[in-house]
Amino acid sequence: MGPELLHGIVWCLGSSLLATVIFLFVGLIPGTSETATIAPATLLVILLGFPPHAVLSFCLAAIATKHLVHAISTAIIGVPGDNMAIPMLEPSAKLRALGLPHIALQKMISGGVVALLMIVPISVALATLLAPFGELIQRMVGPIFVIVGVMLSYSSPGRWASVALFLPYGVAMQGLNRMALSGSGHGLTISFMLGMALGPMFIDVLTALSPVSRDRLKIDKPREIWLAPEVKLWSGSIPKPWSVLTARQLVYVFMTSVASAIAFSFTAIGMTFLVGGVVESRVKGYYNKLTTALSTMNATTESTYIAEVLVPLIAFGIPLSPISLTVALPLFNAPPVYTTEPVNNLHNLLSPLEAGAYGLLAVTVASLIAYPIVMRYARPASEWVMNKVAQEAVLAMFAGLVVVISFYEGGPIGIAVTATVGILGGTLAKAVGFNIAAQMMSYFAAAWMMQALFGI
Amino acid sequence: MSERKHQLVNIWGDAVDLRELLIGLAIGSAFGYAAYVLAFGALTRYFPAQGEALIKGYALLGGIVGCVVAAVLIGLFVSPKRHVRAADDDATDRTDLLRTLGLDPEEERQALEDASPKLIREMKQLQVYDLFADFARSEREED
Repeated sequence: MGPELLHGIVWCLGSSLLATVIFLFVGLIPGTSETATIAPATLLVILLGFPPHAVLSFCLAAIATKHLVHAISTAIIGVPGDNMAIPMLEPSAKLRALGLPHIALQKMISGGVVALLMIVPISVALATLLAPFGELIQRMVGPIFVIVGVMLSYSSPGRWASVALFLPYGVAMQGLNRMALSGSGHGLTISFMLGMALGPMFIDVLTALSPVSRDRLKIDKPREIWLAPEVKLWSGSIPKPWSVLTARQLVYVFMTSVASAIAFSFTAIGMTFLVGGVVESRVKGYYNKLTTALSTMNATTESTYIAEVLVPLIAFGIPLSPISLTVALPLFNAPPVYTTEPVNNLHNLLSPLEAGAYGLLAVTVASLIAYPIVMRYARPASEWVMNKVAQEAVLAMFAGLVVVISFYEGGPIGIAVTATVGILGGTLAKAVGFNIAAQMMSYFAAAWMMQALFGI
Repeated sequence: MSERKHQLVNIWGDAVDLRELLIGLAIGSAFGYAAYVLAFGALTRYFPAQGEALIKGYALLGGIVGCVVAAVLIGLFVSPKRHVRAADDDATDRTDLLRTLGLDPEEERQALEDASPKLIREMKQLQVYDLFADFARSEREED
């Protein structure tokens, strides 16, 4: 082993370890945005003079760790660890009702770790092979969304009613988005996601507020809840993510990792909703459906996230995806060290092979440390939350998060959009079974549908 | 608040007291908003050279801290309205739960027949296998 390689590996291990330790703690705070935490931390290590491979290791290990840890609040308390976790709220709430929050958590992070270990080599391979076709794939996104969206609507509880709602709901969403555009100068995304995901909560609160409907939600005694026993789903003394998942879950995780790498320029939340909807419509049996959906959805967020960083970095050196424009921007552009014009950043400072090898090492270090810790404390943490934490406190935090995040994104109009979307989507979901996945697809397909149908 | 009788309602799958919930929602929103606005104001004042995106990012962090503080405060004064049972002594409740969640017994029966041995072992270890099996069976007998 040459001294240069040894130097590289030591730097890579050290910075991965540093990122893992920091983000083990940051990840515990629910709702923390990665743009506000990982991006400045990465910028800091760049300005401190870390070599390129150490910078990449730091950023990837930070992403991997934060995702593994923030699954805790998503699965156990029901507060999204960050925006990427919003699609997983509904399935994990259902497993929580069955007394299985710790299993939701273990399935999620097991899918996540398997995806993490696979996505780095997949991204490197795709970046070198498929880069020339990136533009073509991006142009096909609109029609693909409409087709998949209509199919998902049909598979929702509302069946044809949901198919009928697909276009009108999209029109309403586009209308709201254009109103937000004229109010705040830019369109909104997170406010829409939050609104749709929290629709059921908005409707429940309104139902309880109204004397006309309050009786429907009234109960006369505290809720009896049961927590499934601690179960070792893996063999051996150390948890192995692939033995926690069933064979079918592993196949789905693999397929979505490849799909996420191809769709690298597409939003991670949208991909996650899409994958969750497809899995839930294909897998039969409540328990299997939900655990498969969660493991695959979390795998999708992980792999889309990493692919969105690595594919544009290796293929172009220019940030061409939502994540590379926000969380991973310092890897592309951190003047005076890295610049995009001319491209002088990790793209030309690391070969694809180096980026792949150091990247894989980084996510492995993060997984080796964070995964066993989260697995070990999944059930004790669930038990503590169930005994000590009032739902009122959780919902109060939600109310605060809705206000803060939508205000952050769009100012006062952002808050208005989130509430309107929540009330509209929640009503349609309760009344006719137009579920969240169908709403989400309608929203994503709306821009293209408006263009294709009405030329606006 | 203990002298008043709780008016319990079921919000998003869990029991809450309506009045405590409404007070909580108001406090959560107010704290979050105030923390964001204060953090944003302070950061623009003391770090005017920083880019707006970074300032907004840190202000968001401040806002989230406000939400967490609100949740902790409410958590200290409000007790959870649930009873955690150690052993599963009453299975009828949970069968009812499956019904209210809108499960289709025919689909569940089919799914249990097709389930892989690993999946069945997993469900048995978690003590949910009998629950689903009973649910599928009970509904069929009623038909």
